[in-house]
Amino acid sequence: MSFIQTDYLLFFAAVCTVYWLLPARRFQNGFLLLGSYVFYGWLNPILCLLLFSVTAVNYLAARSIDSRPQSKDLVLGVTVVLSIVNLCFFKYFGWFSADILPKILSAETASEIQLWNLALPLGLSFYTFHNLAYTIDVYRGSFEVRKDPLDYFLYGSFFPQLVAGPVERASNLLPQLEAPRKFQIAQVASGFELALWGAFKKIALADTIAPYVDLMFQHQSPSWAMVWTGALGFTIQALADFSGYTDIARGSARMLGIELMHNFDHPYMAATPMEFWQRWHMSFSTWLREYVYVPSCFSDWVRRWITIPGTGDWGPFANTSRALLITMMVSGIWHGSTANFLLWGFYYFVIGTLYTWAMTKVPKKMKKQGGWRWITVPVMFSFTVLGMHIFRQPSVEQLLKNLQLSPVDGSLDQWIVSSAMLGLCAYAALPLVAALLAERYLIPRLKETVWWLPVRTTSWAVMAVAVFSSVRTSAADFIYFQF
Amino acid sequence: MDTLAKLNEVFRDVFEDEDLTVGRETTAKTVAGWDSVMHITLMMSIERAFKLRFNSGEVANLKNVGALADLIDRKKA
Repeated sequence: MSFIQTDYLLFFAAVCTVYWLLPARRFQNGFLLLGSYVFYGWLNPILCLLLFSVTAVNYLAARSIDSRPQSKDLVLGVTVVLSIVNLCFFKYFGWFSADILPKILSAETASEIQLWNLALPLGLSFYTFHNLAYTIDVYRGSFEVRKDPLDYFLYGSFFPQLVAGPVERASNLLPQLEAPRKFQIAQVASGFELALWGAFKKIALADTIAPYVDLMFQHQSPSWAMVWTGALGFTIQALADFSGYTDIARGSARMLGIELMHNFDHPYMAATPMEFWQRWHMSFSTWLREYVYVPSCFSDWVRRWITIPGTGDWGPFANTSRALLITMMVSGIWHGSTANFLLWGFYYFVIGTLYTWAMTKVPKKMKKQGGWRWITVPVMFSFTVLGMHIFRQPSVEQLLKNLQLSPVDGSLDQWIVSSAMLGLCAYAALPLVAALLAERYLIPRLKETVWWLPVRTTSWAVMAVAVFSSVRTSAADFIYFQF
Repeated sequence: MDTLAKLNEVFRDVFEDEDLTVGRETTAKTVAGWDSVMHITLMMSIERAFKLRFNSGEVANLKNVGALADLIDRKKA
């Protein structure tokens, strides 16, 4: 079930109403667990078995790690391998059956296997990481094992964050699910407001600009201006789409009395690649940092084997660069099996390393000056647009062609199309910029005045009208559903 | 030189601040720029200065500079 279907509105209204009428936390959790499986199995109930298996494996693994510490390395290893094999099987089946199998099997057998046509189950990678985080935390001793299956299974399948995150941590979500929750009108109103803002970003902004971005990227011989206005459009679309999804998820959870992690913190205001990853898809970035980057920095295995023989200890800069390379390549592979995603991961490794090195050469006094961010933020935004172009362009050949285009080339028609695209970018970016300014300067001042209620309700009405007037019969899926 | 004094030198070097002084109660919240990324660089610089190695769990579970100094002392003992 997608957040932008009418089905979800009806489903959520029913779940929310019954949930708050239930007398005790355990009834509420049991009902939410049932609701989560209905949500996930809405179109294909068989997928519930997969969700149940991933959750059950991690629940049992953590119990085993806790009760038999002598075999905890083995249990964690088996759980991680099982999770990765399961994820890779579904994620790369299409690529493997189309590109690899015909080379190693007979054409007939390969085409028979291709007919299985296994698509990636919605949200598999998100709930795999989400459940795995709990098992690793129990293994590390940073989170206490949970014995109650009801609370854990709800943690493993809580529907607002099930299909595209935020990738929650046990330390944030489980204690909330274990605590009593009381209906508070202010909390429900705030959740509704957040979900409405998310729907506005997805439907009125991202989906409006999406068809034009697609046209720009599908053009066989675009001009320089078309390429970069298209990339700018996708940069805005990606933020509106994914942060819109996150806000609906967080708003829905808040209406149920649960606070999910922040996932976006104005990522295009970042001054460096490292800061960008602290602001973009934060729940996944921090997941990668905690479970891939840090182990890559400190693991004996990495230090021993991924090194230049005879060089010994590389020192902090080289060691963190090596860990960054591993992390960004994992992130690239996670996004997809095509070359553009690997290139995208490598691109972020290169600019991350260059920035880290360059920042050590800039005097600290200069970094503290007021004008520093006025220069570094636009520069980093330009790198982000290039990164988004690499991410969105599936053909590396076309990407290389695009990078060689001259800014002065292009026919009159192409300049007109590019100007129109720039106008659409401005249309989609304006509400995002206005929201940023309002959040920083206007809302804190208005909150204590009589104007707050009329301004707030008017903004709800404007967003609701924009959402319903922008709704299409065939709404586009969220970009991150494919991952 | 005791562990805390040597740690102070590493902190000054990593955070490029000659006036920085850390004590046992110092935490990431009280040192400007001590974010999660800087934490990794800091821990790697400490490894180098004290000629020891941390593992991932140790890096993630430190509460303050005092806990870090105690961990270093345990490893050097």
